[in-house]
Amino acid sequence: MSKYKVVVIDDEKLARDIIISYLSEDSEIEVIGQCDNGFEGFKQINELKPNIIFLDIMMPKVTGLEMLELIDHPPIIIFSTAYDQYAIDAFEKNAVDYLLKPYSEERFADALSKAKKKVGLEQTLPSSITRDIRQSTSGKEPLSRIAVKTGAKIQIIPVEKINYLEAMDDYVKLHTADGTFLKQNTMKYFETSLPPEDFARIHRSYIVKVKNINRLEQMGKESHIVILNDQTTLNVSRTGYSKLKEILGF
Amino acid sequence: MKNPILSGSGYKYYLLVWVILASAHLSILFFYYHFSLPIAITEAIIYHVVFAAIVPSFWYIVQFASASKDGLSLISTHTVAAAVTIAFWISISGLLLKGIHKEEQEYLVFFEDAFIWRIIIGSMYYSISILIFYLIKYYLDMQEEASRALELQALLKDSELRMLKSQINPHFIFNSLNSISALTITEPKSAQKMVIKLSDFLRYSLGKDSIQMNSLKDEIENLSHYMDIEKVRFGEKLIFTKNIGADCEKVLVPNLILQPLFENAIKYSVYESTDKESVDLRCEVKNGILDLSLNNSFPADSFTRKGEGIGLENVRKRLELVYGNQAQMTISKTENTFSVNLKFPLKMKAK
Repeated sequence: MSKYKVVVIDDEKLARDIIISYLSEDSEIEVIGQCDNGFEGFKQINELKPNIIFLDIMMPKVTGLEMLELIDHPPIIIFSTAYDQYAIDAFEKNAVDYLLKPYSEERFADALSKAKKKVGLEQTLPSSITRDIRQSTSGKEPLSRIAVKTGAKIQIIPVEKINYLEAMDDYVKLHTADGTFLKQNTMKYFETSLPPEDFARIHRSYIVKVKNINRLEQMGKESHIVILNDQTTLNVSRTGYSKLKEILGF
Repeated sequence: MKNPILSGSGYKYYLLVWVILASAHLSILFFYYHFSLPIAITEAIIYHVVFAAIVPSFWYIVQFASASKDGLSLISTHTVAAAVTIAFWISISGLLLKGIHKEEQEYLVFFEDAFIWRIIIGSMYYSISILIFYLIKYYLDMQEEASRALELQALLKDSELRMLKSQINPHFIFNSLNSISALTITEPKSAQKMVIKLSDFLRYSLGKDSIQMNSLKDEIENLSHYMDIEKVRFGEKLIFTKNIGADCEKVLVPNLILQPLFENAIKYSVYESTDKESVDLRCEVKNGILDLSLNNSFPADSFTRKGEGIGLENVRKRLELVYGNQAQMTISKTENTFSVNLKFPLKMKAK
């Protein structure tokens, strides 16, 4: 029988130690990797293809949640963190369990057995329940940075650096001064998550940083375009136009 | 500070005093020197009205003079002010009275003879007014001091609460407990040490009376516990160095004033880094001022997130309340270092 392959990702060595120590009690488990940050975690998950990962959230440079966004076929995830406020995000990422530090061996074993049962089963889509919870818990902080993949690496883009976003099938293309990046997500997500005072959805396919708009011009009777500081021109829809009107106050 | 005569109901008492003085003056002229009633009345009124009009401005002289702590400049300020006041008072009143009573020979003779007396009375009036102003100022200063102390107490209560809730980051506690939990399996002795350090730190940080000054030595000892705990969590990644002048240790500082600086330093260095980061504390006494700096390195590629600086803002507010404008906090930042400098006046432990 093949063993369950596990990777442990936590920025504190002692926190990894205790997980590995608990895991060593279970003969069905093989720890194939451990690391102390999200960049390395991303690499190990893609290369080692573990069945189960233990993941901390607050880590230097890339948080556990940001890292997960970039993994195409995520393994079974058990979060292990001292922060209780990320539970909703975690379950949205299809976490099997959410361990709050410090936890007992029994609690840990419980999470592990749940995870083992899930290995090999088809992953379900993020449940609509968590989405409902999300909508009822308003007042979430706006997005301040976005993790993207460039080749086999993760890159973090502060939202201030984004000039505009463009819809691309299942992806959104982020246009920044340092180049363009693809991110698998919806325009709707960015429209609601980016700081609303800085970004405006001007078209079905475009969200633009308001400060980056150089001027707005009329094209024909009913349609408009914006010209950005770098001379890019983007179409503006009718709803987009009225939104700009509201934000810019003209 | 507002002029106590011109503001509130102070002017009523003030006028009453001058009416009494003027009546005394009038009585002496009328009953003792046997001048006619018009002369007695005009002289009493003119001299006292003029002086009464000048006195409120002494308040500003008192304010100005008490700003300097040098005795010589204090005396010279008042000498000059008194001379100017008396000269002005005598000449204006004299001009008016001589104009009104230019026919009264007897009065004019008296007028010349009384010159020296007017200087004496003027000096007396000046001295007494100044003395009263000093008393009022002393009283108002005390009141202000008391209300500042009250405000400080309120702020401390508030910050104590905040400390319980967030200043000592609960995640710090939970993560430390998790480290201890791990150590109990692998290194029970180290686990015990860490439990004791964490207990000492919490006892010191949570068990403090509201307004309290502690010696810098005690504060730094407590922060060393904090840093030791973080060192257990982050190991080699955290490099903490300190350089404390021996004369700093007895200086009193507001309790836990440095805690937010350390938390901030840790948060933006080791919490955000995958490499080694350093935190360095320096402290010395220079020209009667405690000069303390906390420097930390941070990874050049990290972004400042929102929420930075609330802890530091609290430190600034507390310093302002405790020391008024005698304390100073400066923050400086380069590409990969962050540094906070505090300067405050020395308060020593009474022995």
